[in-house]
Amino acid sequence: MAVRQIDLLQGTLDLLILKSLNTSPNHGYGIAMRLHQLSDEVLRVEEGSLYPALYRLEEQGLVESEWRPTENNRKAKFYSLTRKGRAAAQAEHDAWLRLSKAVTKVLRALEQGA
Amino acid sequence: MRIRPPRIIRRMVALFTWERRDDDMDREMVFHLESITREYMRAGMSEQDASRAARKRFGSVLRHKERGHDVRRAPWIEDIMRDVRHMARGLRKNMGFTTAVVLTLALGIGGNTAIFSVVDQLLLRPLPYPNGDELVTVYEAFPKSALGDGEVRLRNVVSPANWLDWQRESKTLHGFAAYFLFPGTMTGVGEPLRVRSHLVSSEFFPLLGVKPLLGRTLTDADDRPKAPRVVVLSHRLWEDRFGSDPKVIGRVIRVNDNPIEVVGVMPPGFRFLYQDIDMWSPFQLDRNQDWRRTAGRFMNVVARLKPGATLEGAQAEMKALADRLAGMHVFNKNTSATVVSLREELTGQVEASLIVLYAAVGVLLAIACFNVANLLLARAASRRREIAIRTSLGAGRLAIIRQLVVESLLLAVLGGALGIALARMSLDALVAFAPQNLLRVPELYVDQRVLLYALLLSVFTGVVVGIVPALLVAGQPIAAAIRAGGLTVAHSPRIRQTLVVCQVAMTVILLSGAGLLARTILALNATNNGFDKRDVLTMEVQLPGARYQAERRTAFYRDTLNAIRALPGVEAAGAANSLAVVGGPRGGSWFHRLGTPELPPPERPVTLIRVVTPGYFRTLRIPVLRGREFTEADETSPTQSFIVNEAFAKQYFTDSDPIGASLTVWMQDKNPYLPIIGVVGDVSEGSVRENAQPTVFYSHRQMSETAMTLFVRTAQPGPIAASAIAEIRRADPNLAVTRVQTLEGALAESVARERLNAMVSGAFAISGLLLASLGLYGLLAFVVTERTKEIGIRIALGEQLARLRGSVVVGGLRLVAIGAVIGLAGSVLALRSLRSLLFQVTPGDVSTYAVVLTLLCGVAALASYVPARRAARVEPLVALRQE
Repeated sequence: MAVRQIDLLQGTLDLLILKSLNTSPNHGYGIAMRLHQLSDEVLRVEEGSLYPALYRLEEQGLVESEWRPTENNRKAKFYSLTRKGRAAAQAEHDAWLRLSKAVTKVLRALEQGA
Repeated sequence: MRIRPPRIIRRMVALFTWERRDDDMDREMVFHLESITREYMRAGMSEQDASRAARKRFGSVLRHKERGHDVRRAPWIEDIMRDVRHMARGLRKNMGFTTAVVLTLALGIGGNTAIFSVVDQLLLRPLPYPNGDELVTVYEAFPKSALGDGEVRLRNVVSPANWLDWQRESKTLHGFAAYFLFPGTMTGVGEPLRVRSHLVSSEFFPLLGVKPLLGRTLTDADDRPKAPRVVVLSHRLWEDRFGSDPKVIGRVIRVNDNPIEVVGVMPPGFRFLYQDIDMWSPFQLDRNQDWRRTAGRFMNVVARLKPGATLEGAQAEMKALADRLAGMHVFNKNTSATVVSLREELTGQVEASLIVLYAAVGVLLAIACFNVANLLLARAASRRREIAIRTSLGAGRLAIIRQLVVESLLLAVLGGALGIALARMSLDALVAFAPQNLLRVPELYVDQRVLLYALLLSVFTGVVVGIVPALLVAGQPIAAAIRAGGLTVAHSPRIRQTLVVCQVAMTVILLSGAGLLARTILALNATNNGFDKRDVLTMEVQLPGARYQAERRTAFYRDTLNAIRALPGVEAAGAANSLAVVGGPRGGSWFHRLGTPELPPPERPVTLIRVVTPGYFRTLRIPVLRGREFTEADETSPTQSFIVNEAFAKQYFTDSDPIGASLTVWMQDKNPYLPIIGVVGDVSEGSVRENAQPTVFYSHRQMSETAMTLFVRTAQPGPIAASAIAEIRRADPNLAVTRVQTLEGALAESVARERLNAMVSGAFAISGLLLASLGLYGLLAFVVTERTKEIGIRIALGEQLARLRGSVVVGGLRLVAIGAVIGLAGSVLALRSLRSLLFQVTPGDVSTYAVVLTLLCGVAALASYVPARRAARVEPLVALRQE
């Protein structure tokens, strides 16, 4: 773990959780692992942020949960997207793209100007 | 997709599923921890190290869970719960304040709930018959001076002929049933029992639509003349006398020595007009007889509005119908008809009282609210620093207001709960106190409706008393409050003074109203009704007509009265067909005076008739103005005679001497002309409020009634009653002796409504006075405490203590004076509505107001003096050191 791990911005975590659930339901540990791996171990999801985020999303009706056995036959609480969650994931994704494009553009402009 | 309830519901549910959710989170996080541990173990750590590392990475499970809960809880509900806990702690610490507020509110809410329960059960609930609000009673009316004496009587009993004609012809009413109150004595089932039965026509039970509990009700066949006698029992009689025997149907009982077969038992709670009817028997009236020729008016009629018909429509139609009958029959000349809803029949007597009492208790609640608002203001003021600090720490205005309103709500609900208990007790007392036929309900209860009312009232009260102090306190600038340092706490003096003034004003109205009602009952009790009501014992005896022929009856009463007169301690004894004043006359009829022209029936003069024995007038100390009263010699002498009262003499003998004149009264089969031998003093007729009516007295020998009321003048009613009953039983052990009471008691019962008015409103007024003086005291005590330092300086500078005390008292009395003026003006306006309840006193009675003001000033001076004395006791040094 040579690369410095980056803490996630509030809001960004919600987006990543929603997107990671887009393909298949997953449990909390699974989500954290997946995000960690997909980011080439750059992003590190704090458990202290992960669970409140999941509960908040559940509260907002974007995800729902159910207890199910894992491949190893252990019981885990699996989260999956609701229809509303799917739409929200798309909307957040678009918003994020706009934001990052804008930020990148500004940064580039500043770099050139400097 | 699952259906999700709205968030608010989910959050509220979440409050109660906290534990399950907590457990859920636990398991979820443990799974996570275990997964990390495995990951580390796969990377080659020992189990112990892996577990430690996992915990380190994961952090505190507890903290994660807490944050998880935070996301889902319903913050405002939990805040309120926290407020409630916080308040409850605060209130427990401040027991004096809490007790004062809760008791005050309990008084207001309890009184209100009790009166509401009576109003609800008497005026608002449906009558206990299917579609009971369609039922009406129908009377004959004498709108003009058909009675000869110029009297208008709108609710008179009915002739069977008119009943039958109405039944045939009415298009707005149907089911016309006749009923007639008929007292009797039931024997053979335990002790002889005086029973009250209603003779009813066959239409009666179908009209009311109530099914019997056992057996059947009365049929057309039962109602035919000379049909076998049958009876339907009331549930109460069946329970008391027949031990709720299910096999009572078919049993033969004896009433007035006649055998009657029991055919049915009514369900509990079935009643019609009176609480105490024991049984119903068929009228068995011959409907083909020409009743206009053979009898007068004697029955009552009840009917039902046809679908779509209104009370006004029925009244108009019945009037037209009566006018038509008046044109057809001489008997009906100048008569009309009156339709009265059964509801009014039942509650008309107490409705006005109830509305007045409801208004009074509303005023009492207002006084209580002002008092509590005042206390809350004082408390909020003394907590301004605490509140200011909370505000500066970030509590929003809304949170502060919420906290204060929650506090007042909590107090109001506590007060309401106590109030319900209070209401429950006062209702029992009311039922025990009121005579049975005044309220016409068997019991008054607190049920769901009343509880709901009390709850809503509590919540409403809580919000009302809490919101003003809350807004005031929350609206004040923080900095000023903190700077004030808790010493010169502003306490909204204007508002608190206004509250006290309002309290005083309302108290004056309550006291004046109660004063007028008290004067009324005093006046009623003090009226001279034409006789001496003290020290007279009365009781009713009923002889079974089958065993006692006319002459035996007179002999029985003569011998019994003689035996009673012989008892030591008895001054005089006599008997009459009923109680004086409140007992009905034997009847009323036309009469003719010998030597005057004989008029056609409707224009003949009319008189009331009472039956008396020798000794009656002497016993009641009714003066014999001219001539003499009946003696025992009259009972054996072949010549008979009449006595008349002064009203009769004044109305019909304006120019001549009644003594010696001869009358015939159309009352019996044979009505010979008999001479008047005496004129006696007038006695109120009907109630102690009324004047006398022209009356002719028959001797018992002439009209040998089976039921008589005995009057015994004695200073020891208790022991004499026992010996008198023993004498009666010695003569005949099968006689029922009932209504043993003093004459004074019987008359007092006839003014029970007025007494109830006076006592209940008096209790409200005294409560109001107490609350208002507490309010005044509280305000002044607060002012004195607040000004301790200033008072200390003034004392140190040599101000005289008496002047100091005076200034506090004057401050209090100034408020009282303003309140009293407003209250007097309010009384003059509001108390006019009492007029119909008053007797011998007017709503503007100056002496009542004078008494009220004196009482108020006395109590107010006392309430002001206590804090004033405390002010004078301030130690200047101690006061100045307070900083």
